[in-house]
Amino acid sequence: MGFTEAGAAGRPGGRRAAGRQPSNHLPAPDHTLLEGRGPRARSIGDSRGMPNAMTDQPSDRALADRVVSDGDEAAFQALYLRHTPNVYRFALRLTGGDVLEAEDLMQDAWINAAHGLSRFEWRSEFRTWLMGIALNRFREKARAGGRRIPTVEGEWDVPVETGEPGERIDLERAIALLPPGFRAVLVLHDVEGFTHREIGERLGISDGTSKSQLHEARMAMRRLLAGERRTA
Amino acid sequence: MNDDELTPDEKREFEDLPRQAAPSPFLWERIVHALREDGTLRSPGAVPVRHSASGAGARWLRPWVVAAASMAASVVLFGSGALMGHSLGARSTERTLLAVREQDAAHLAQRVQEAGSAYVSALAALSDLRPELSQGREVGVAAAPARAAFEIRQGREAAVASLYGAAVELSRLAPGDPGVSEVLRLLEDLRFQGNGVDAQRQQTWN
Repeated sequence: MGFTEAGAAGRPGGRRAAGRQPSNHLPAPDHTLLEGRGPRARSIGDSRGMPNAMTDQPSDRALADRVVSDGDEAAFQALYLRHTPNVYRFALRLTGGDVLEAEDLMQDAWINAAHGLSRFEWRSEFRTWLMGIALNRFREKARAGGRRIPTVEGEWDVPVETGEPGERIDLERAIALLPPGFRAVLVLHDVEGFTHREIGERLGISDGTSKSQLHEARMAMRRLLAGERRTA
Repeated sequence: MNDDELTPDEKREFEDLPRQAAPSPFLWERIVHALREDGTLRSPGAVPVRHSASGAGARWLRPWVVAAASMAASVVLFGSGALMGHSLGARSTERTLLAVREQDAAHLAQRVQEAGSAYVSALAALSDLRPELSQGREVGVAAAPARAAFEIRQGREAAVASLYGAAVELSRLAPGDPGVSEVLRLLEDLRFQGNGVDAQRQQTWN
């Protein structure tokens, strides 16, 4: 599953957090070294709770336990530094590149995660759980804003905005220009590696609907990449 | 091309997409501020205010909240202590004053009783003397009968004046008591009947 593979190899932020001593006011994390392109790579350690022998980093579960039992801010910051870069990129894609909306999603996701840590059963990876919280928040906001995420076949036949007619755009731009529903399924499957069953569970649709929506999304994406203007 | 599958180039493009991004530093500030505010996170120095056996649901107070709460508790303790001390002191003083007053009242009542007994005894002795004078017998060694009669009259006047003064004080002690009021009215009549009391003496006893 792509989700478990996501993340760049070596995380400066994660190493920094693990070595940081608690202070009265922890400085804001520095993510500047985390930008960049790269293949999917395995994350540090096993976020389901096993410590990483290679880096000697505390596991997500150990950090979460410290947060729950002691309100340990340093442990929470370590979790934040470890997972925010990936989940934030995911949130950016969901929101079509809207930085403010993506940061709002992240804020809500982390706060909800912190509140729900004691109830998290660690049946999935922490990052997967955090992405799920962000996705749910995205759906709630879309619903509240009147931007319904289509869940029925055929509802994907909606206009796709582009720049100038004939303008060729890159993949990131094409994803951002997709309607929210297209984007969600495409990002979850083709970028993050969710299966159709997992997508169906998270979006409340069947596996078949997820497949058909992905097909429509890819078609729309190809048209955008080819510089076509989709006006359906 | 199968529309349901990504081409190798498309797969490569997806794989080359950046996996990470850096949010603004303010995001961390916003999150940690919110979690500190609701007590999910604690700063060093914070103390637990609710901690279950499993550790779940622990909530923390930040140091400044602890300091403020400590100061408030100190003020409350000091205030309640001072209030209690003041209350106890006031109660003690009140009891002391009450005891003194009770003692004074008892003492004064005793004095009234003693003075009354002396008053009645003196009047009784004076009354006992009067028949002897009236019968022409001498009282004492050198007392002439005329002078003795004068002194007896003075004693009588003093007795009436004292009785009147006592009635006035009784009327103050028991305002509205019809018996006391009647005695007072009779004594006033008695005093102003002349009855051998000259103006100068009236002035003196008034």
